[in-house]
This record gives sequence, structure tokens and C-alpha cells, in this order.
Amino acid sequence: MNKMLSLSRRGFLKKTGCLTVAFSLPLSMSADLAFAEDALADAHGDLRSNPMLDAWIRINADGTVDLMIGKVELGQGIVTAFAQVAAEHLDVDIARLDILSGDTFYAPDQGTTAGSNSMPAAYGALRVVASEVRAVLLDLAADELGVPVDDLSVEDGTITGPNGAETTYWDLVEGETLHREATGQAPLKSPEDFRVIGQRVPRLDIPGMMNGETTFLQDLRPEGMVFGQVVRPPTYRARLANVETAAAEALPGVMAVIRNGSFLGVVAERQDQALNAANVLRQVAEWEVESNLPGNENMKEWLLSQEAIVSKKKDEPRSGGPEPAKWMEAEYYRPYHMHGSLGTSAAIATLGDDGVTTVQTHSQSVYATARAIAGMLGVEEDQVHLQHVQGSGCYGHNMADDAAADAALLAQAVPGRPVFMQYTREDEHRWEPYGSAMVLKTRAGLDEDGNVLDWEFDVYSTPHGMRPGGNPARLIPAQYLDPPFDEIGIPQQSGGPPNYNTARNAIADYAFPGHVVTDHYVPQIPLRVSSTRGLGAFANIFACESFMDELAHDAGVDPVEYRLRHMEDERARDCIMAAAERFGWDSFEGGRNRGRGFAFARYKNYAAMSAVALEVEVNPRNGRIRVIRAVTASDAGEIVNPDGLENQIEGGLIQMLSWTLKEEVRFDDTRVMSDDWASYPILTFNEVPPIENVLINRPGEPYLGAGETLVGQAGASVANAVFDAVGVRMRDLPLTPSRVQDALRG
Amino acid sequence: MVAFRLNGEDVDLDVPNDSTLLYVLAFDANALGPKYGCGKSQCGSCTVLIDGDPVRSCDVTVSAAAGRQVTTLAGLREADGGPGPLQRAMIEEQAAQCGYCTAGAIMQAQALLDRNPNPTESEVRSGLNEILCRCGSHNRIVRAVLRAAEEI
Amino acid sequence: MVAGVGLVVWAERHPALAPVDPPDPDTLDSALVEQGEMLAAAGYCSSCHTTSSAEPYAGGRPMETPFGIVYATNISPDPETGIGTWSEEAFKRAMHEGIRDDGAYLYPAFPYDHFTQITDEDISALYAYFMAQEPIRAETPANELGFPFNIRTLLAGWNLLYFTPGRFAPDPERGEEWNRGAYLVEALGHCGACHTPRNAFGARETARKFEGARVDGWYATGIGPGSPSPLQWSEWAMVNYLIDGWDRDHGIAAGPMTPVVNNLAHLPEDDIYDMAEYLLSFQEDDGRDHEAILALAEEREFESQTIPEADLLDDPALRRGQERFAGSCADCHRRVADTTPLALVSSVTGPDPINLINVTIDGIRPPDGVPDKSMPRFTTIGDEELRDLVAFIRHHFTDLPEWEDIDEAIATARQTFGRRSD
Ligand code: FES
Ligand code: FES
Repeated sequence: MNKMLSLSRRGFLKKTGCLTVAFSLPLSMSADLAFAEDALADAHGDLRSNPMLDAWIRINADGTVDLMIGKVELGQGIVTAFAQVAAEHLDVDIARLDILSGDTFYAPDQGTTAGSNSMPAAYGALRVVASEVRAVLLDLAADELGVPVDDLSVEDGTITGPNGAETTYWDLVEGETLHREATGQAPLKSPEDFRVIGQRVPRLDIPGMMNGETTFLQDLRPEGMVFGQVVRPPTYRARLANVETAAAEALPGVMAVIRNGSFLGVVAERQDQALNAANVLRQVAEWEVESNLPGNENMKEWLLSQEAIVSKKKDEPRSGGPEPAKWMEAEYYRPYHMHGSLGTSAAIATLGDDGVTTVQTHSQSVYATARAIAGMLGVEEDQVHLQHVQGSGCYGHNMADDAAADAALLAQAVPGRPVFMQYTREDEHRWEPYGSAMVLKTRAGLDEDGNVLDWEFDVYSTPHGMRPGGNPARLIPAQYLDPPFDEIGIPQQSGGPPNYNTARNAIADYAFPGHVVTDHYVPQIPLRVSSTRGLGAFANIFACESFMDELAHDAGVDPVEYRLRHMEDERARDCIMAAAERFGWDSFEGGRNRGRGFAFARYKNYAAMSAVALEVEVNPRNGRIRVIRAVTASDAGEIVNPDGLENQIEGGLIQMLSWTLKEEVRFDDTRVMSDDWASYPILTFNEVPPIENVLINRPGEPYLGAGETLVGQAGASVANAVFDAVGVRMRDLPLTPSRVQDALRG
Repeated sequence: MVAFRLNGEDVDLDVPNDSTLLYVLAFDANALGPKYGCGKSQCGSCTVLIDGDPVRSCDVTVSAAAGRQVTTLAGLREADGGPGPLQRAMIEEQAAQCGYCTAGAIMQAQALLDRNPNPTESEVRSGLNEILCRCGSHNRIVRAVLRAAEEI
Repeated sequence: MVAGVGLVVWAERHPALAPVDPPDPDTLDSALVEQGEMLAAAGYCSSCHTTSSAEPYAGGRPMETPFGIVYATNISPDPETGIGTWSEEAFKRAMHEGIRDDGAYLYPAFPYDHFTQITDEDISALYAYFMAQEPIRAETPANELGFPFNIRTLLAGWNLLYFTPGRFAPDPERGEEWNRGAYLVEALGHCGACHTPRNAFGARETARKFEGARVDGWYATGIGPGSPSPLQWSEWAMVNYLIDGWDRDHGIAAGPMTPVVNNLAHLPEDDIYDMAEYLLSFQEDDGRDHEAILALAEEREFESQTIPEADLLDDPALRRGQERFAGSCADCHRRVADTTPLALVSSVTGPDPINLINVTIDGIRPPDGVPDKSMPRFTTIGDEELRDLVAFIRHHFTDLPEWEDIDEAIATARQTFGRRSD
């Protein structure tokens, strides 16, 4: 049974219209559950815009419970975590839940599932709603059984009174029982009483995917499905000058060739036929091509030489005090990185009789993307219905939204037929929005003992967050239509507190007497970019934690000790020490060409934190770095599902090791050359080290999210370990064999 | 017309001979599991077994399967439809994040276990090296394969 | 020959050597065991004697010879099925003379004609190492040899004709490194066992040392003067290749060479440099223009998976191969990808197509030194398709004459992978 695919089952109620009632979040909620700032804001927002209890939870007469949530499964186990929260607070077995997530018609709008804040936010909203549903039902039961509410107990939806009299949720609910606004006044279960939250609950979607049952969008087979493909220009800003479509149209199975401006696509009966026709079109299409990209080799200089919008993200220079005994400085570089989801993005779109275009998508932002697609198609917002279905892994804003838009466009040509569209690997690699290239300059003034007095950190970056929001111009196909949607709207600022953007984690977590962080934001997009795991955090942490290591070595102080000297936060200290201890930092014996590296960061400075200690072996002959083993220690507040958390942390570490060791988007002055896994290699099974994870549970503390707990720590810990092993400091990523060899040869 | 055995059952499909095996399996034979990841034999997410050998179904035509035994995830299930040993181990180890790679990884691992029922960890890693996983589920998948080897 | 052999059967007899109790592993000198481990790696004993890494040295691996199949024996110290009851003297006699503990002849598939050169000290270390291993009970399958090759005593004649016992003698004209390399290559490494062609009786043709030969379903490439590598081997490249199993200019090791390089990786790097020095002394620098060769190789690389209309070949078979290459191979074997140009690899430029065919069918499992370099199997490719593909690759990437015997090589490869288990 698949819990995430409730697309056409028993009528999920269409979201009711009464969304405007003022709603004030009760204080009781934050009293025992102090949210991180943005999470609290999100929880407020989620409830304010979706105040009806039955917009979230419905109890069915057959003993099942429908759970409707606006957050979506991206491979992070989030739906299971939601189920845990709902089951906990409702007091029902998790197996009773049927979950509908991310449906723009039938599930509450909870915005985008991103930034590791999904759980904290939705945890709050869902907790309030589930507790209140339970309270409503207990009130009803008290009436029916004629006993006071306080004397009732609940076990898996069965309510028992003191005299043994019983009733159940499903007997009590009828009609409009739950069609009422949340008041936020229901008592909340206290964490000591949790039975489901905090347990290693197995993921609900895993059995189906292992067993070959319908799990992914790519598994859906709606009646009459046909296949679409698009033909992208050779370069971003190329224009279609001429295309002879007759040859493609004459191919077997071809139902429609669609040309609109520079948008070119095809729909065919079979997938092979669609691919074939797209190939033929690709060969006959004539494009006007421009050559104006900086090229990956020149990216660093390019970034430093552009006109930038300069802002201070932290401006606390030391006033007075002694002059530093010495200054040190360094410069680091991170290239463009890909999301590189293993499955290419896909969507299924159908133009219905009612004029509604329904799109199954694995977008992170179904609600906003539905608006953008409506804008692109020039129809009303309620004419576009997006339904989330799991796709391949998502590590930020990938091409899911573009795929939904492409499929929607193609579907207009074949009304009534569901059009399945999955990008080719080349399309995905070349067109996805990458993680921005960045240059980081660090400078520190040190006292006699080598401790930091003045810390200066300068970030140079192109944009990061470029999600569609409601803007059609941020969907690839819309940019090529006639007339084109070309107001891409490059943001003119780089993101402010508390999340930041290019400057995420540019502020170090350490207590430096003088601390200045300057952002040099380059509002240009030579390559398409958008949110990619951690945004600026990866590069900023890489630079900051590498530089801390440089300072420690220069001071002749152990790098862990050096960090602790500058760290005041107790939880951060615990985390650092936990990693060092499990790794055996103090008793480490390296050996020839072996070294240990350490790094720590707290994501966004306030969310979950992780320390990494790892060991590498560097082969000076061939320049290869082998990560031998790694240890992580993380504090993500109160743990909802330890296995899920561990999975996310370990996955994060492995992906970031891959970025660190191997990945760089290559491009020349015209086009992206990294167009498959041979030209953009990633870490393989043989290269993944054994990893031990220490989870520090903080019962009663707010849950802080997991997806990006560990980002730049991977980069810095490897570079630091390489220094420990062979004495060369690697400041430019990726740390490929040839770079290491060059560095070793000086 | 192409005929082959799919997970122990005869199938006879009216599809062009030069159709890509992956699409025939996915869209004509409705065999869930093999997935498009690259179409270039680079990622392994489309892996199925043909006569027990792991094959990238994205890169061969359906004629390669003609008259042969093709196995996908469904073919590894127990007779009652429940997960087979390797699938159970994958579930027990929660060996997935997005899980897109797992169908291919399971088929590749099954072929490995068929040839070498008692592999070392490094043999498992090497045997799975042509399967890519982007989420970082590698170590869990390796543990699952070793667990399955123990149980079989 | 038969008459000659008869004569020798009469002439040669060897005594059985008394069995001993297997030595208690705890009493073995650990430094000696450690040295033995290194030597066993240098001799890559495990490539033949280990079938499953779960059972090291338990034997059982089949070795295809022109005379039938010989199974590698169990050399773990199991008293019944292994060599647990062999005295050091018996072990030494087997290594130096090719005589079993019971006095019977060993088949020269076991390279005692190389091992005879190993020093007595190294033999002791190897003996200690093997005795320190886990004893594993595993019966070695009976060899599948036809008459008359199944008669072991006939080997006396073979030995008389082709076997020269004797320890390694350094060449005083050469330096220490060269001599160390020579010892490793000739005595322990037994490189010539594969890379030197054999005559009709399975004996190495010393006059054609390192010229390359078909062995066990693979072509052991020439590593002497006639090496088919388009680029001259540098010491650097040779060292990379021997340790990592890969060098940018020459490509990757595959087939039976993979366990060899995985073993060599455990040797001190200095030893590998010495081996390279020795091996390179057989090759002459003929002054070829590396830059030009590289440039040409690059030029032949595919740009993309689409072949421009004008470049399609006229010959229908070559054209089919070309299209197949573009469809399946050019994804990874093209300019922007991180692969060695096919024009530089000996499986394409060598005299025998079998390596190319083997890796196409069975893919490449990466050597330990380059853990991310693998190639998937294309098992399902049909014989015709494969023939066209192989012919096209030869045609496109080299200016050498086409291969004559592709069909035979395909048939052999099918046989190899039909029964091979890995
Ligand atoms: S889809 Fe077949 S190998 Fe990637
Ligand atoms: S679990 Fe997502 S690709 Fe492997």
C-alpha cells in the first residue's frame, strides 16, 4: 500500500472558501515548544491561511484518517515524520493514516518544502490541529458516554471511559463535525508522553519502492497516456530562426509538433517515437546562438571583477583594544554545482474537458508553481491543478517546475490525453538551475597567542534563490514563447536575516571580538542558478572552517581546541566534543600521507548543527584523495525520527563529499559541457567511506530540521585533512587528483 | 511482435522491434521498477536482469530480450507477493532516501549475489559501483546487500 | 615427442616428502609472515588460488589452457585439502622444481619455471605466510585434461626440454634497481607467464619474450619492444599502471590483469619503480612524436553522440558499427568525458581483438587504485552487432589493418563469460 498516492481515491474535500477568518496563534503553543524564529512564523502562517480542521484532518467512517498536508515528500522521509506527528497527537495508529500531500486543490497551502524548515513549521501547525481534533472528539465522547473529559483515555482512536464504556473516533464523526476553525486552545501532549515521535518509525513509502509498486511519478500510467519531449536551444539565449517540422511530423506515432516562438516540442504515441522526433527536430532546427559566457576556468576572476551590490551582513568591528600581532588572509573558490537528481525531472499533464490543466509533478512548490503555470498559459489560477507525486531526489530548486510547465504546454496540443514528459539526461544536466559559483575572501587579525581579534569575511556570488514563485518567466519554456516571458526578476538583494542567501553561514558561529561580514552580490546569471542544498552555506562554511584550520595550525594549536577557544555556545561545544570523541581525535595516529580534518557549523547560525571529523589518505603519486572514515555529531533539537535524521545527515555528507572531491560544472564561452555523468562525475559506491553518526537528542527543544544540517563541513573537513596528511592547503574546489598533484608540485 | 518471459510469465507484445527495452517494460508491460536516469548506461537506474545478467535496459532494444527471461523488482518477490530476501533487507535497512536508484541497485545486487552468495563488503561496493545514487544512501544499500547475503 | 617423453618417464622419479603437523600459527615469526605477505602480493598468488575472497587461497579457479582446464589448488594450510601437512622443504621443492609433496609433477600452469628463481629466504617467508593463513577445507576439482596431457609423469619430459631450475642471478652490468626489478618481474611476478607466447607444448618461447600472447581467454598485451601502445611507456605511466591499474595515456587494466595490479598495490612503491625500470629496458625509445599522437587521438574522439550526415560511412557493416558506437559507446568515449582516448589503448591497437570484445561483453570492474573507473556490461549485444562494432572501432581509431579473426574471438569470449563467475 502506498501512502503518498491518494490522487483519485475517496473524495478528498475540495478546500473550502472560508480562509479569511482572523486566527491568532495561542501562546500555549510556543510556551512549551520554542520555535526557531522562521519556523514559528511559518507555523503561524500555515494555520492562519488554513484554519479549518478538516482542511488538515478528516476522520472516516471506515476507521481511516485522511491527513492533508501542503509539504511534500522529496526523499527526506518528511511524510512519515508528519504521520508520526499526527498519529502522536491524535492517538491513532500510524497505519490508519491516508496521506495527501501537496495538492493545490485539496491540501492546505503550506508554501514551498525547502530550507529544512518544513518539519519545524508543519510540526507546529499539525500539532495544534491534531490536538484540537482529538479534543473535539473527546468532548463528543464525554457527552455520549456521560463522563467528564478528564476521565477518558484514548488508544488508537478508541475512547474508553472509567466504567469501561467505549466509543471510537469513527463512530463520533459525522458530517461537518470537523469543519470548524482551529481555536488553538486544545491542550498539547507533552514530550514526555510521546510514543511515536522520537521513534525509529520505518518510512511509509519504502516497502512500495523496493517491491516495485507505484511510488514515483514515473510509475503513473493514466489511461490514454502519450509522450512529450521538448527541444531546447543549444544555448540559454539562443533564438529559433527556422525549423522545418514536416519531417518530424511525418514520423510514425507523432501526434503534434508544437512550435511557439523558440519553444519547440513534440507529442507522440510512444516514448521512443517522441525521443526520435525530438532528435530529428534538433537536427533541422536553426538557431541564432550567442557566445558570452565567462567559461568555468575564468569564473573566479569574473566574479571578482563584476559590479556588485555590496552590503554588510554583520558589522561589528572591534573598537579600541590592542592592534593585532599579525594578519592572515586567504581566498577560496567553489564552482557551479549541480543538483544532479538521479532521475531526470518529469511531469504528466492533462487538459480536461473543464478547461482545467491537471499536472502531476514532483515540484517542491506546487502552490506557487501552479500560479506561474496559469500565468504562462494565460488562464485563471483555478484552471491549473498541481498534484505532488514523488520523483527523484530533490536537493533544492531543480527542474521539476520546468517539467510541469513543459508538460502543461504540450498537453494543450492534445486535449484529453495525459502527456508524460521526462527530460533527457542532457536536458536536465544542461538546463537545471545550478548552485552558484562563489569566491570567499577571509582575513583575520590575531593576538600574540594566535587567537582571533578581528575577523573579516567577504562573499562574492551570483544569486541563489530563483524559484518560480508565481513568476512564469522563471519557468524555462515560458522564456521561449512568443511573446516571451522575460522578466526573470533577478533579485536585487542577496537575502537578509535570519536565513540569508549568498551570505548564509557567512557569519561565523564563533565569538570573535571584531566580526565583519561583507556581501558582494553580483546580480547576474551567466549560468542559470537557483536554490541548491544550503545555498551559500556550503561555500561559506567551507571557507570559514578551512580558515579556522589555517589559523589553528599557524598558532600551533590543535584545530578542535582552537575552535573550542572561540566557541561560547554550549550546545555547539557539546557537538564539537562529541564528534572529536567518537572519532578518537586525541588518540589519532596518522601515518604516512594520512591526516584528520575537522569542521563544525550551525546551519543558518540558528538551526541544526553538525560537526564532522574524518580521515583521509592522499596519494601524492596520483593525487587521489581517499576518505577512509568519517564521524558526524549533530544536534537538531528534539528528534522526531532518529533513523530519518541519520539518513539525511549521512546522505548530506556523502553528497557534499561528492561536490568537494569531484564536481564542477564545465562550460566554455557558449555552452555547458557537463551534460551527463561521464562529463560530470559524482562519487561512487567504491568511494563512499564508512560513516558513524552521533545524534544528540534534546527532548523538549524545538526540532531544527535535518536536510542541510551538514553542508560545507564536508568540504572543509576534507581540505583540512588533506593539509594534515600532506601539508598542502587546497582552497579551490573540487579537490580533483590533478589539482592535488599541482598543489603538491607547488 | 516481441515475446519473452517477464518475471516468470510469458508476454507477447505488439511493439516495434527496435523499441528501447526500458520503455517497453515500463509503458507496455507495466513493469514498475526500472527507471530512466540517463539513457546512456551511466547510472544503472534502469537495470533489469536478462537471463540473470544485469542489463541497462535504457541502452538495448527489446529484441535483446526476445525469447529470454527478464526479471524486474516484481520477479524478486516471494510467491505471496511479499518482498523477497533482498527487498526485505532493503526495507529493514531503510536503504533509501528518494529511492529512485534502488530498483536498479537491487537488480544489480541480486545478480551479484547470484554469482557470489557470500560477498565481502568491498565486493558489494565494487559490484554496485556502476549504479549511481545521488542521495547518499550508499552505505545503507551496502548493509542491506550484506544482510540479504547473510539471510539467504 | 612421445618417444622422448617415454624415455624420460623412465629416467625421472621423485620421492614423496614426509608430511608434517601444520605449524602452530602463533609460533610463526611475524616479521617473516609480513614479508611473505608482501611477496605473495608480488606474486599475486591470490589471482589464481583465490576464487572467493571469503575463502582466501582455497583454490578452485579454473584456468583455460590449450590442453584443457587446470584448476588452481587449495594452498591454505588445511591438512587434508590444502598444504597444511607440507614441510617447508616440500613447499620449497614445489616452488623451485614443480614437484608436489607426494613426488608427483605439477602442471606448468603453476609457474614454477619462474618461481625457481626465488631466493631461499623469500621461500621461507612465503611458507610462513601461507602457514599463517586460515585453513580452509575445499577439495580442488579434478583437472579436465584430455589424453595424454592428463598423465603427470609426462611432465618430466617437459621439464627436461623447457625447464631450467636455478636461483635468480643479478646482472652485474646493471644497477641495483634494475636487478631488483628483474627479480620481481621474472621470479615472483612471473609476468612472462602470460605476456610471453608459448609454443605448441605450452612452454614459453624465450626468443619472443614479452611479445604478447593469448592466455585464458584474454590477450596479454606485448610489453616488450613490439608493445602496441601508441604512446611510448614512460616510467611514470608504467608505475601508475602497475599500481593503480590505470594511466591517463594508456587506459585501464581489465580481465586477469586486475587482480595483478590490485596485488601490486601492496608492494612498496620503490619496488614498482624498479619493476618499471626493468620492464622499460625491453622497450626502445624510437623517438615517436607524442604530441602528434595525442593530437591525432583527440581528433578521432567523438564530439557527441550524433554523427553528422556527411561522416556516415559507406561500408554497411562499418556503418552499423559506427551507429552502434554513437548510440552506446560515445556517451562515455567522447572528448568531454574523462576517459582515455580509444586511439591510445592497446585493446584497440593490439593484434588481437579479444580484449576489446571481452570488455564490451563483460564491462570493467575497477582496479582498487581507481575505484570510480568502471564500465558496465553490454552482455546482450548480438554477435553480428559486436563484430560490426569492433571492426568499426578498429577502423575509426587506428590506421592499422583490420582484425582478421573477430568471429573466433567473439566465440571465445562467449565461452569465457558463459562460465565465468565473478
Ligand atoms: S537509465 Fe539506463 S543506465 Fe541510466
Ligand atoms: S536514494 Fe535517491 S538516488 Fe539513491
